[in-house]
Amino acid sequence: MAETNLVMIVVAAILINNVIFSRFLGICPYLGVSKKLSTAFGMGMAVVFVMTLATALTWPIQKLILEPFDMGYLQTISFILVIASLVQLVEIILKKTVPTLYQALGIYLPLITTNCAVLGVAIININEKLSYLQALIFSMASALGFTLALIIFAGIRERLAIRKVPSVFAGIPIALIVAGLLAMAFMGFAGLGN
Amino acid sequence: MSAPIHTQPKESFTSLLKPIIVIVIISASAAALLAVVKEATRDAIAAAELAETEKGVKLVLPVGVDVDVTKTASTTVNGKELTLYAGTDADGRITSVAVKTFSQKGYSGFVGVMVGFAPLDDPAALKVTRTYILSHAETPGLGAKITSCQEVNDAAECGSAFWTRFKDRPVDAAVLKVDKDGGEIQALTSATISTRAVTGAVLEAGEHVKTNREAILADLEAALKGGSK
Amino acid sequence: MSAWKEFAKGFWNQNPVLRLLLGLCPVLAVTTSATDAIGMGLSATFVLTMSNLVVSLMRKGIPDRVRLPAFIVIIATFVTIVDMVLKAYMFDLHKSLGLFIPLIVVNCIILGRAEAFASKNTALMSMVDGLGMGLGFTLALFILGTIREILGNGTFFGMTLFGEGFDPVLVFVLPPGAFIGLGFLIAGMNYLERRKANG
Repeated sequence: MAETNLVMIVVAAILINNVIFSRFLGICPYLGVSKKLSTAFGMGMAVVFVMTLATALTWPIQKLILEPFDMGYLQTISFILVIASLVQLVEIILKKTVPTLYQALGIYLPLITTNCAVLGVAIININEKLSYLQALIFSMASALGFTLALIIFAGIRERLAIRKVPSVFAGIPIALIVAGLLAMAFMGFAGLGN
Repeated sequence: MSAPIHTQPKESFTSLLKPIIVIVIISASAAALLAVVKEATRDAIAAAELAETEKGVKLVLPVGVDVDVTKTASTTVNGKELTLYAGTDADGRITSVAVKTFSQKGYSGFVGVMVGFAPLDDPAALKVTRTYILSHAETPGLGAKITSCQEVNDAAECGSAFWTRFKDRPVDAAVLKVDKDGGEIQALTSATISTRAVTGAVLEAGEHVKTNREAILADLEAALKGGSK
Repeated sequence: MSAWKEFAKGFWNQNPVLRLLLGLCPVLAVTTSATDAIGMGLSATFVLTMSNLVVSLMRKGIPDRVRLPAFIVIIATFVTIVDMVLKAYMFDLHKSLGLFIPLIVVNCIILGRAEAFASKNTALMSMVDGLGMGLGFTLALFILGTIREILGNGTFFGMTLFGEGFDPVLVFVLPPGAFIGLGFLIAGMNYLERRKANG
């Protein structure tokens, strides 16, 4: 059995190495979607679904097709095509099953394709030599960390929207500064591994 | 249903087929182009990677020892695959070994470690010659200090840099642990996790080499004679 | 618009990072040093310019239904080329940029320009648009990277600037510094735009 146990992987992915506050992945949708709590949660769940499924498909592609046939250089193309197809699939499913969420997410749903967190995590799985099980847990936990960050942020922004902020800071700049403060707070989780 | 039946299937067939054909052509051209670029850069990439490996291996092996980084052996410990490089003396005998290992327990996860062990003819006296961090994503200013001063091989010049804490340490579980965990390796300020990750990987590799010395020597001999295993 | 105007817009008025707010992921991650910032910026510029060119040349031949997957394959191809070339000839930069090289493929700037511009304009204009946006991206990265490197590390392009006594403000090279630094930079841009509009 590999050395890092699964609970540690989950804790690390959500808190210690949060995908947004520590690895800097998934910023675009993070800043765009996190204005309302309800959309933030829906987006988070969509990302959990896509990220876990993306890992479920890309890991075997790397290990069973790309590596044995010395086609490692096709990783970027194959991974992103898998992700784009998955997102299309999720769109179709959501449109049929939960049309209200589909409407609420709007353009941010197809934008999950360009969410660096999804492709990033798929590649991290390979780079850090995770096993299939570890990779699946890691991607699900990373997506949950992403959702957590999104929800905290939306909560803060909902309150911030009614406060007065210097006009040059309004919108994205103040959002980034709040994100910075949150990142600082998350750095406090550093000792958790012990 | 006003259109004549015989033209309708043809229209929808084409409209479905064309996008697929376009994608297939684009993907095939892309794959072909990439294969060409891969061939063109193959040698340069291999040379760059080899130079990188060689730098790490030469730093961790004792001074004056010969090594051929193209002749490697491998071994497995706790599900981890380690790469071994033989350090030979002037008579061609294998006196030391460089081990490429890693830890997943760094603060930011993966830490690649190169560590040397000698002398191989006396397992009881097996010591760490040196460590060299190959790759990491640790926090700048804190865990990233595990690489400080490591391009230099002079302990005097590097003071209490991270790598010097492992130099010439015996492969012993009582020694190769972080001081907070009962060992003798001084933890980096505010970077106990990074320290612990590297120390763990070093101890694991060292004990494996000590226990499996005979088999490892045999594999390395075979590698030197007949190329990589 | 003239070619020059197409080029210049990406640099300032419609700077992808500071005004359009695109491509933010790498901005935060690779700006711990000015060298990495420029390396990433120029790599992305290459991909953006080339993919804009190819998309524009093929714009009449790509059916609408598959335009996104087609753009993605084209962009991913150039990203992979950059990855291999950097690994072969600029090994240390490749190591520093690491994960963010393949992530260029999901840089919203590149897909965004392919969709918004290259698929509707001539090859020459598309290349120029790509070049302008790419260099604007590089500029933003460079500014943030310089600030973070000087304040957080006391160096510039790896050369130590200050004497022994200077204690770098560590937070600048850490995640919080990245977010806050970029926030102030964008606010600064907003301020300059406002003054220009009023003055």
